[in-house]
Amino acid sequence: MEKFDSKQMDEALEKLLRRATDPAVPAGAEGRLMAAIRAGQQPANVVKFHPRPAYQRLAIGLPLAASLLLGIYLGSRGTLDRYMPESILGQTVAGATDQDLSTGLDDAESYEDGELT
Amino acid sequence: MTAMQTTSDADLLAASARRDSSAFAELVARHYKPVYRMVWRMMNGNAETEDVAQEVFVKLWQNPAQVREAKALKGWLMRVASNLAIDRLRRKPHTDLDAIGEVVDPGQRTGAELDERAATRRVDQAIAQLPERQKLAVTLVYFEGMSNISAASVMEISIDAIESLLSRGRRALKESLAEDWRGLLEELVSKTG
Repeated sequence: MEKFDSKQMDEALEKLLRRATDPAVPAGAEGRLMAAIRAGQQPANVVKFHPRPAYQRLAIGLPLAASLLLGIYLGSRGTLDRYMPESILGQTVAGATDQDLSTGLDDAESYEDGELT
Repeated sequence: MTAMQTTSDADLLAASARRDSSAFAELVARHYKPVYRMVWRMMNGNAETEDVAQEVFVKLWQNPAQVREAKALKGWLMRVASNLAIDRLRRKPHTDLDAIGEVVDPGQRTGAELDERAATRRVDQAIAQLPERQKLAVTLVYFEGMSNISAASVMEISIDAIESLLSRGRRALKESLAEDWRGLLEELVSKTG
């Protein structure tokens, strides 16, 4: 290779590199790119949430809060018990007799006496 | 010629920042081909070339203000494209030029054409075998016609470093293409003297 100078060598290489493939852009590539860009630009199909104004929220919230408080007050006083069905009211622990209470103490005594049934 | 075609890159970038997709389409028309060509070369003709080229422009569309000066647009595109191509190649196994079958109909081609195609293939393969950074330097300078200074700026390295990469790249190409290259040298010498 000594008979060639470096300039000749580089010229030859450049000439050789010109033989490399010049890749063609696939048909429609730019169109597909722009379609992707425009698709990303579309507004999202979501309805923006607008909170109600404060006066509207109070107009709904205050009667609901008052109704809840009134319900708690009347319920705790038992004022409306007579309007309630028996199945809801039932028997309270305070009203139960001693016989109704099952403490398990009687069973313990029987066991001590040798009665195993 | 439309008004958009005579508009400068700077104005098109500014319009793109205002979400003007027509202005952006003109930027794509101007710069898509070199970006595609560079990605193709870096990815050795991989089928994902179009995806990567598309991603480069999507990044630009998402924030055109990233390019501070319109003069630097080509360099910015090339830098982003080369980084994405290299990342993609490292992440996924890929098919290279050796694996892509060539469809040739010998009946329709002359011997000279077949020789030419074979030579093209050998050159493509020799470039594909270069290490990443040498390949990028060779691609920017020889195939994209960039100056050493511009290529160094794209690769974010010094002029000395790019010259070293080019020198090593040339040496590797000369070695792998020794047969074709010597023939060409003989041709050149016989023509000149």
